[in-house]
Amino acid sequence: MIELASDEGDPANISERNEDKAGILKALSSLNRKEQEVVRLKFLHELSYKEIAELTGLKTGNVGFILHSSLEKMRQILQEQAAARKSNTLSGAPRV
Amino acid sequence: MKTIHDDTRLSAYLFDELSLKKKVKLERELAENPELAAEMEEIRCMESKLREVFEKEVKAFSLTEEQRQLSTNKIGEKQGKPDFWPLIFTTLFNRPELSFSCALLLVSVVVFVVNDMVLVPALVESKSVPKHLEMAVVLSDTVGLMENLDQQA
Repeated sequence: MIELASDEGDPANISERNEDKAGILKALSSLNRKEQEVVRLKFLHELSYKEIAELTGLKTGNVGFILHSSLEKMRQILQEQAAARKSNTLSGAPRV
Repeated sequence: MKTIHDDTRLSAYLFDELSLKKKVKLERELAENPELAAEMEEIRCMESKLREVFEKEVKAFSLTEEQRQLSTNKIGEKQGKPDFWPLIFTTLFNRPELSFSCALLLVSVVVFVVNDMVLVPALVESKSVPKHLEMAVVLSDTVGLMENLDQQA
């Protein structure tokens, strides 16, 4: 069987993935405590809205809202990070 | 004003939290509305990134297969050899949690029986006070008497 060339081990890709991960963790830390708790319960423990509601004392509808708004917030933060990175690359400034 | 970004149905759809009816309705909307479909794609992308990060974190902190096997074996060994009292009460009543209280009850009954049926009758039957106890009583009486005399003097 022929193995296709993989770019997984490519240092540039590894560095990019690490940056992505760091960016996501940073975005996650920018959420408030309740939002972080809900996100962790969903993604780390794979709980349903109902289970999260039982654990946190929130209403099921609120869990959905918090989760959705957390994803939106994080998406915006990641977009801002990407834009900042792009402008730094264009201006030749070193990466932070 | 509610925007397309506030539509919580999109994330609920991704997490399979919508009822069948709502799911079908949203799928129809997604097919008709490219803006909504693009928003859905953005959220899906964010969700998969987050999932990937959390999966890596979980892997980093979870046991290796070898460690997991080892701990499972140890737990199995422990479960295979229950303690004496739990074993007795599991065998007799299928209630291992009763073992301590039942053991205590059993000991109390044994103590009561020995005390009531062996020691007390033996004491009653003997009736006589042992010699050394007699001597002790006489001695304490004498000491008491002498103290009284001293005080009166």
